[in-house]
Amino acid sequence: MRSTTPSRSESAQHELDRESAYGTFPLLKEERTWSGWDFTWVNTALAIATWAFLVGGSTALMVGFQQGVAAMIIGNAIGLGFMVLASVVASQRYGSEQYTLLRGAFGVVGVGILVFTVILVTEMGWSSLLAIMAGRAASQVASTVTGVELDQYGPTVVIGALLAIGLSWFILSRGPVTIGKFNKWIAPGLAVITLIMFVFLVMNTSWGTLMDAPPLAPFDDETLNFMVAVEFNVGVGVSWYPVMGSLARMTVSRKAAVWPAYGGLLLATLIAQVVGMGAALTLGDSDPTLWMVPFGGPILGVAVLVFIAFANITSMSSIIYSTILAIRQSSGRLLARIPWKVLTASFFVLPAILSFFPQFMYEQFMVFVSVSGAFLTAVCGVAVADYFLLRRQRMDLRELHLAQHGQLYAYPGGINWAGILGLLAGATFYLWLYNPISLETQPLFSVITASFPAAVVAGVVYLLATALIHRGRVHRPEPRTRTSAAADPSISKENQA
Amino acid sequence: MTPRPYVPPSPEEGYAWAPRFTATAELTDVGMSGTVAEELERRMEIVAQEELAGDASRQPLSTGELLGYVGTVLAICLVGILVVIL
Repeated sequence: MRSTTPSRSESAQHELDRESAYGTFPLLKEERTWSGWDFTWVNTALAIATWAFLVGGSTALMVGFQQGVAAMIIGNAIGLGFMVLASVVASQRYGSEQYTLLRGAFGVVGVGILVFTVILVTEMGWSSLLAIMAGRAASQVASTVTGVELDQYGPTVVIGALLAIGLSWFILSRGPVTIGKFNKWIAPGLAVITLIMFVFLVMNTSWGTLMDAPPLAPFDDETLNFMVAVEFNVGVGVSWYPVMGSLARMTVSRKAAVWPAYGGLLLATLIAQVVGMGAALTLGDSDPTLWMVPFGGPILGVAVLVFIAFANITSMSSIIYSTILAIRQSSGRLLARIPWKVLTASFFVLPAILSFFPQFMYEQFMVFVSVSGAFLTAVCGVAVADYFLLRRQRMDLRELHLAQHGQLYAYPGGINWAGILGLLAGATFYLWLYNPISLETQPLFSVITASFPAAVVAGVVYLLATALIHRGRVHRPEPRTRTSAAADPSISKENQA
Repeated sequence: MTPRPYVPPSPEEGYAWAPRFTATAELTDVGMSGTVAEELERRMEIVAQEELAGDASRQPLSTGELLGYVGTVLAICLVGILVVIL
């Protein structure tokens, strides 16, 4: 992303390139190169990774195949529905990095708190899982090739996970253009391979077995089982929030952003999740690293596993790219001098440590998704209320970048307490309705689930708190007209229409 | 970007603020270097001009688009409900 201004010194150009990589600048039309299909492939490659198989397997704990498919459709439809509105729309419109746009809702320090807690922990958790799953795929390949039986949580898994982390860092350190290039080739292949996996699964079990298989560990209450399955999938849909905005800003138009984000993630997720669910119901394990070689044979099975391991790596690169942008933008000048490659490498420290505990990560997967979902849901609720209702889809980019030195988005101490209150209210309401650790639920949960109501609560509390705390405050910039542009002394004559 | 008359800070805010007559001066006040501030200002101005010129990619989501989107979400949920029933 190079400036077209001529005659810059090398150091100035280097500085501009660095700030471009970190997402400081809103993207211009010539830089927004992703068409609807490009973004669809990006989302397909993101969605079809072994996390989707795990989600399918977790859904199979509660419900059988038919109800599971229904729960996945409904849950992902709802979760993706408000996630896309919260993250994609504003970032695409202004070409701006997602968390800069969130400064209105939370304040510049509030966004920093959010990024360095909820977002960072969530994305590190997902990265660890992907790395471990890639490690398991690598371990299974090694086992097939050598003929030696290897522990599914053993040292070869750890080594494979660490290798996956190294490869992800290599791809990531080259920037988003590389991510896009890989996804264009990886994504269609992933979709085809996932369908092939499903065919193999049905061929080696049977359609009747699949349809009749009971859930693995349901509650006694059938309605509760279905609603927990729906809720879990809503949480999965919402879990895309930390990354989607910063990716969507690279699309050419609103249509190229919104529908590929929603439809691409929905379809690709469903395809992969159904495979995972089917495997869990019929074989007792959703993880294709365990059954793909026995079903597909050594050659095809190994090829599929290698492909999936690589898919995990590209997914990891994409989500971490957005997270690094968030960290960089939220840290002010603190991380300004740290090179991109060093910053990206530092992100992987915790996932690398967690790679040494693969069994723990697998066993706590559902809890992790649900707890992180509680907070992300609330963030989405506040973000939607802020952008669509309070700001009426009008943001002032300069005021966002001025933050505490401006007027529109400056708050005492840099924290918009209305946003924080909304976040806490939404997350608390979620955890009251459904506690994923103790598995306690309120009767209301079986009617309305938890995520969407929590998002609504978060949004309503945010708007009410704003009305109370920021009474009389201006929330939107003046609409710009050609007359006001002419009157603005900050605009050069050349730029006035 | 909104043309702003000088508004003195309130006693409660306590910000030391002097009027700035160029936008890049405001941005360098935040801690940006001159080079980055100039580039950011250039880009923000282009974005604003594109919005003013009616560039479709810089416009807000229309009511129709929003309703269409919400309607699609509801329709897909109905499909899910049908899968349970049938």
